[in-house]
Amino acid sequence: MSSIVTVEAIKGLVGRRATLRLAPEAGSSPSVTGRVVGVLDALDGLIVTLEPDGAAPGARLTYHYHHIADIAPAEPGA
Amino acid sequence: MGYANPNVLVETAWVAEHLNDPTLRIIEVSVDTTAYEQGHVPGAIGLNWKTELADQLRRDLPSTAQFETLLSRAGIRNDHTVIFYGDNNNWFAAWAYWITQYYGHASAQIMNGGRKKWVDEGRPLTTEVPSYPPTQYVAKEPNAAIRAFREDVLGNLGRPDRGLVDVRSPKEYTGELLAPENLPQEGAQRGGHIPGAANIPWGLAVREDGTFKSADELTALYIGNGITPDKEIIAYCRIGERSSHTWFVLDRLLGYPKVRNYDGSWTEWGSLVNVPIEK
Repeated sequence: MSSIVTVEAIKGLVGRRATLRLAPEAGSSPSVTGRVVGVLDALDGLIVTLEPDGAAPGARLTYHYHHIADIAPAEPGA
Repeated sequence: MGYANPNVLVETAWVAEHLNDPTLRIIEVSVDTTAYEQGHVPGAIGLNWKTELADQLRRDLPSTAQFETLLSRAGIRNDHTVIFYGDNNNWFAAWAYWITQYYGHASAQIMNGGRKKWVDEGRPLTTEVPSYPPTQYVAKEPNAAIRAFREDVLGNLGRPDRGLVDVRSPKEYTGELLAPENLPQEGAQRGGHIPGAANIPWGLAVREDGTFKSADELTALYIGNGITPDKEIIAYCRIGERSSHTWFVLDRLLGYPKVRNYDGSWTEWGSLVNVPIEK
């Protein structure tokens, strides 16, 4: 598990749509796209909350940033 | 589905309306032990997790006598409702809550969202330290059912009716880190995790504002990772405070019947001779 994603890169995407590529240990699909709702900053790393595309209103997914292998802005409607 | 024990949580708005309620004692326990002096919820007592919520000679919880002295001096009666909050998402507020439950305090709550939510909402802080009349606090017999020691963990290894949950960050679980990444890398001789432990970082139990997720979301999180209520569960982290947070979720919010906090945690297990470790 050697994430190169920085805290700053993730925080810069709060409020925007983004695609997250996830480590297998995340126990999720390999990638997920949606709006980055917010982040929780703790001494042991960042927790990222995402509102996934196509999910029911209010649905959220939460990841520890150690499990995020890559994160990039998603094109509108992509 | 709601929380099994909704009364263990209290919202910031409610606390703000009850700052002068004589039946309450509000208590800050922050990772940053200087946070209280910089400003705290008006009327709140500050407790230091390093010097007051631990024995100062042995590595252990405060003894019954130490706990009674601490609460008596702070002006806390047995019939007070104690409300804990702190920084870093209530890590040590949960630790203090767990200790009060170990010593059988009847009514205790955690302020949902902790210090950060209080501050983010623009609620008042003060540097004035309150003075409450001393009491004669009497602790109950320690509740051994909520605390695990290393022998308990060893005895659970490989048993399908037991569940271990490692609530540290993923890189601590894999052994890349020995401690949270923003802290000195010390405290254990080896990295890794206890065999069979599921890694469910404590932070996955909260929303982006630090408040706890709904009961349905929490149930899906833990059951989806094999931490089911039919098992005896032991939670651990590095020194036992983050796992107190998860203990609170499993035992109090979800009502799992048998949950214990292994406060020796990784700083003990990762330094023991001849115990199994996985990476």
